[in-house]
Amino acid sequence: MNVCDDPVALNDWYVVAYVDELGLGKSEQTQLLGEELELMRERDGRFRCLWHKRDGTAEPLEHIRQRYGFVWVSLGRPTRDILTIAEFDDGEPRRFIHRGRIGVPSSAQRVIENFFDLSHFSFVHTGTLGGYDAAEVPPYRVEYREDGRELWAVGCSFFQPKASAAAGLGTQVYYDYRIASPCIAIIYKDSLVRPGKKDLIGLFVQPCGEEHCTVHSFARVFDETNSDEHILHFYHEIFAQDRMILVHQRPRKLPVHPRQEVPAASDASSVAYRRWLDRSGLQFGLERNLT
Amino acid sequence: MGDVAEKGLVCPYHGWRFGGDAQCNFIPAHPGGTPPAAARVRPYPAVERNGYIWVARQDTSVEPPSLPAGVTPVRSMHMPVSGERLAGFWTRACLHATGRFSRVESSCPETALFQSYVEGSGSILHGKWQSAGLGVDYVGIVQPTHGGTCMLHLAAQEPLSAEARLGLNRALVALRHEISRSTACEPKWGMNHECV
Repeated sequence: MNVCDDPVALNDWYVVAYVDELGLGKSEQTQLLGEELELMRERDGRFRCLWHKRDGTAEPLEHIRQRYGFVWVSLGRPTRDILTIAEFDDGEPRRFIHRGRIGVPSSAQRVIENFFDLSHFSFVHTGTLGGYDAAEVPPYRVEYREDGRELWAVGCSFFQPKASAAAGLGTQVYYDYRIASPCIAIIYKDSLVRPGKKDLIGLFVQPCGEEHCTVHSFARVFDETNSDEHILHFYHEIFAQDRMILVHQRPRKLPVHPRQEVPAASDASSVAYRRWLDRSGLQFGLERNLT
Repeated sequence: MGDVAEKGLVCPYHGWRFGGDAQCNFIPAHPGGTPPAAARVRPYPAVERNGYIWVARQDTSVEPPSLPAGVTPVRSMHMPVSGERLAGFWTRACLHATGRFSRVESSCPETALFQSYVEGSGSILHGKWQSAGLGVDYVGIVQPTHGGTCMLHLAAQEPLSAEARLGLNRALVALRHEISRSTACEPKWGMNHECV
């Protein structure tokens, strides 16, 4: 694709940086949807973004916002606002942890699909998020919310030997996945230290190209004992395991042709995600042909 | 990629287990269920020879290439170039000045794999590795993988001293570095963010 001509992709919002990653008066180059961007932070803290077009001209981006500690942009005409995450404003004493940004040579959609995949825990995250002897995936439900703009997998549960940095003994963990847009997913996980409350872990994936992306991530969790470093190390260990899988997946774009799949019941969320992406008309990062 | 269990080959992603008939016979996410008939991978004929497993993608009547007797595997390493380009690197590195079958001098002992006599081309490369009084005949087997990359399987003539084995390993790493340096201008997937 020479110039991104995918209106569905262009009109969406994407995170391109965490606010504190860019010092006052500094700028950095990045890519979004195969396009070259220059992100600048003014001395007064405001962000600006230049879109460097292929004809040598540069155009300032109209749609640029700060929300949840991240910088968001849209290259097109956004048809809706940046997603609402109520748990950022509900007054609960959750900690916010910026979990950094990690490059992955894969489509953003591959990263999202792996994020909400349940049945890999026992084999990829053995000893933390799953174990060989408890690999069964109990049934869960798939729901469409916000007039079909969001996809949820609810009532998920899994036995996890060490579900988080704060976890002590192995436990059955309950959670919901929210896929708020093709490149954004949030897990709402039962807090192990505050019964009845949810911990949040979110991925804002920046589709740099069709086959490479940057994963921006945050956690908003009840944890009064572990240091930021400890929580980050736990996350990095988990993500490094996922990354090993992601770098080997072919094609790098996510296949959405129905005949490409041989799903099991535990893959209901993956199947729903692929059908949902297919119906959305999105092209970028998807493999629509049977390969 | 996967590990061999009692009843088949286990995929490292979701633990699906495939029997010798290529049919999935166990899905750990549903231990009580029967895997769908469509959960079947494509089988390829395979034979074991010289310590390697050889696979034919289509023509099953073709025998694996014959290697010299007494050759033993040393190390396999992924190379970020196609098999054709690897052969080019190899021969260029070995023959850059004096032509075919010539000794190539290198001031860096780490690139000792290049200080070798090379003949052949294509998927099997033969050569003699020489360093510090040691001389070892070796074979490089090129396995085309995907996306313009390949796996290089290095095997050498027995008896192989620990010193020679270590030297060959270092030489292989040096070759890999040499190739990585030469292809450095090609896309690398790092952070995708470049500070200016």
